[in-house]
Amino acid sequence: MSAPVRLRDDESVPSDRRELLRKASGSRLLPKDVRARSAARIHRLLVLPAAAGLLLWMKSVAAAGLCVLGVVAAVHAVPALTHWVAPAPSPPPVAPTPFRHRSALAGESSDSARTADVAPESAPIPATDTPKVPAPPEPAPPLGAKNRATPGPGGGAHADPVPVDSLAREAAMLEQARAALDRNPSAALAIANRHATTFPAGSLGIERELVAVQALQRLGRYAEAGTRGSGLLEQARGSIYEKRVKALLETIASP
Amino acid sequence: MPIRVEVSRPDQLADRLDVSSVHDAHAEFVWLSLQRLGVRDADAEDLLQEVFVVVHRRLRSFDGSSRITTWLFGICLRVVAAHRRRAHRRHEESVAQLPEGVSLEARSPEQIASAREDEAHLRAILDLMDLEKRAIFVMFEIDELSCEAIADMLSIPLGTVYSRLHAARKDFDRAVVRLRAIEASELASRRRGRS
Repeated sequence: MSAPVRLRDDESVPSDRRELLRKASGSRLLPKDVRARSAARIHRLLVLPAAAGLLLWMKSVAAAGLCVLGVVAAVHAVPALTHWVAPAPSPPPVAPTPFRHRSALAGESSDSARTADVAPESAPIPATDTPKVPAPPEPAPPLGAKNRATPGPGGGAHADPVPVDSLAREAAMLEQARAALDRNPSAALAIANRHATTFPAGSLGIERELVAVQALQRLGRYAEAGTRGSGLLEQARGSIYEKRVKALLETIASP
Repeated sequence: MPIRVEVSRPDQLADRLDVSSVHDAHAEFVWLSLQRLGVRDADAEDLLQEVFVVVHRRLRSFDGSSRITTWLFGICLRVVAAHRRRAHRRHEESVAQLPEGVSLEARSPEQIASAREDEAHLRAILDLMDLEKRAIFVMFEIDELSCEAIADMLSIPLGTVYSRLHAARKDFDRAVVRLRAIEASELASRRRGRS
């Protein structure tokens, strides 16, 4: 098959058509500026999906992070909600009573500069501004009990830090006992005894025994007060409480 | 003057198939194809972009079994067909323009007016043709591409180019006749309106 002749060159084609095709201008090449603009648009076409992908990735990461935070917040909120719905005897905020300071300083000499923290002799255990709290909590296993240097009702010096939660519960319980001491020594004694069973290796054993001895004294149970006070004096030897316990025992001996 | 278009082989495209490289290599071909399919200068740049948006979306579907120019020409056909349907819906009138490449300096106002008239007349005929036949016709009769180049570009046998060109010429003849009939009808309508 031979190549066709173009119509403009074909004599058999009407002259007006040949003329029309001969005058026709061919397709024009792509202008440089149009090519440049088109290339720039293509570049944007490639960049935008990448940016959109990055944005989507960042959004998904942020969403995942929020989900994790939400789960963590929910995990923490559930116990709080449970307490709110069915208020259990929960520990109050940490009571910064002198107990803790004294306990911490239990190993120091009585001449320590920290004696300023010690309550006056006339007031066996100083009252604090700690608000009154409901009944003390039920016993919880003392978290640091097995690490205590001197386990037992007497308590003593502690090498390991005591969990704040447990210490706060002890302080709250003793604060209750101390508050009840003047108007209801029996209740104060009961609370002190409950503290002894709840926190057999508690950090505030000396303070508890001090309240218990005072309660027994006020109840007129001097013999018990003397016996318990003697045991307390053995525990309090060398501590800031030693002088106070001795003075207390003197009052018990000669009511 | 014949326009040469470089045609890449499928095996050459295998490892550089991204829209940027396709644009670099074939923007010229797409631009020429759009014109051969009757796209006006005012719309050509927009449609060029539209074609490459499609290329960007569909490039993964190109398996290299044909020339990429064949694939691109198919995209051009569909984009231009859609454009014509949109233009038809908007009742746009084609504005005959003297092509940018035509020099006006050596022409008198009469010659310029005559050239515009001829261009508009030819465009009106071509606009009545089937899109694909029009493209083949313009490639061979106006852009003076050889049948071999067309066959290579569209990945079709040479004999197919001949047969398609034959069909395109017949379509051209029919379009000429139809245009004359339309012009005669409009002329008669104007005369009736005046009378």
